[in-house]
Amino acid sequence: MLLNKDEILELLPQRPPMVMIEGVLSADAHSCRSFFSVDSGHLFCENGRFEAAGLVENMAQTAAAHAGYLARKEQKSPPAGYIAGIKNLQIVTLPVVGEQIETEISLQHQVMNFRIIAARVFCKEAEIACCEMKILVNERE
Amino acid sequence: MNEKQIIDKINDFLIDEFEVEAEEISPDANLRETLDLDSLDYIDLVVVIENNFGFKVEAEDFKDIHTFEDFYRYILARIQANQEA
Repeated sequence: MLLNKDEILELLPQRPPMVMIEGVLSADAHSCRSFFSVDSGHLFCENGRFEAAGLVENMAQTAAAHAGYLARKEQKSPPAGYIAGIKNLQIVTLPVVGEQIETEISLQHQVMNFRIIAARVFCKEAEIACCEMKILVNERE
Repeated sequence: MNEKQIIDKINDFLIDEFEVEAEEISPDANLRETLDLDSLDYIDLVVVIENNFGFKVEAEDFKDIHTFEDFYRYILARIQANQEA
């Protein structure tokens, strides 16, 4: 694992129970892969399933962890990011309690201070959700 | 691609990306008003141009683009400049 739960908390502004990634498995300049275990007591769990809103937040937080990881490598503070738009969101199925999801984001474009990322969520190696996300990034020194 | 093919390609991706009717597009029509572009849509426009033509548009370049004709001329000029480089 590249980043554990405690290290992720140093990169994200969210705090439990709003943290929706558990660890970062890998990251490079253009992509990042996180994982998250669906817990029955989680804020976004209903009727034994992790809701779509949780999946979207999970994708956004994976992107935030990626941006934070890259900033830290350059001795900078993690940037603040805000979701500016979501396109082509597809949810195939919602993961159930006890399952682990892995989320992969890849940087598609950087336009001014916006990052456009493609995000895909996998459960048991099958893709269960995807979207394109536009994130407004406020860089900090 | 000749000029007409490039303009057809531009119109195709504008219709697809911004869900506008083909009949609404004419060289003299205002680009921003016709496509109902807000500031975030301009980001999508930059992305779709890069995806289709392989070059990045700077925000300030849009200052002189008012009509579809302006937009076509800008794209054609950038393509030509890239070919000559």
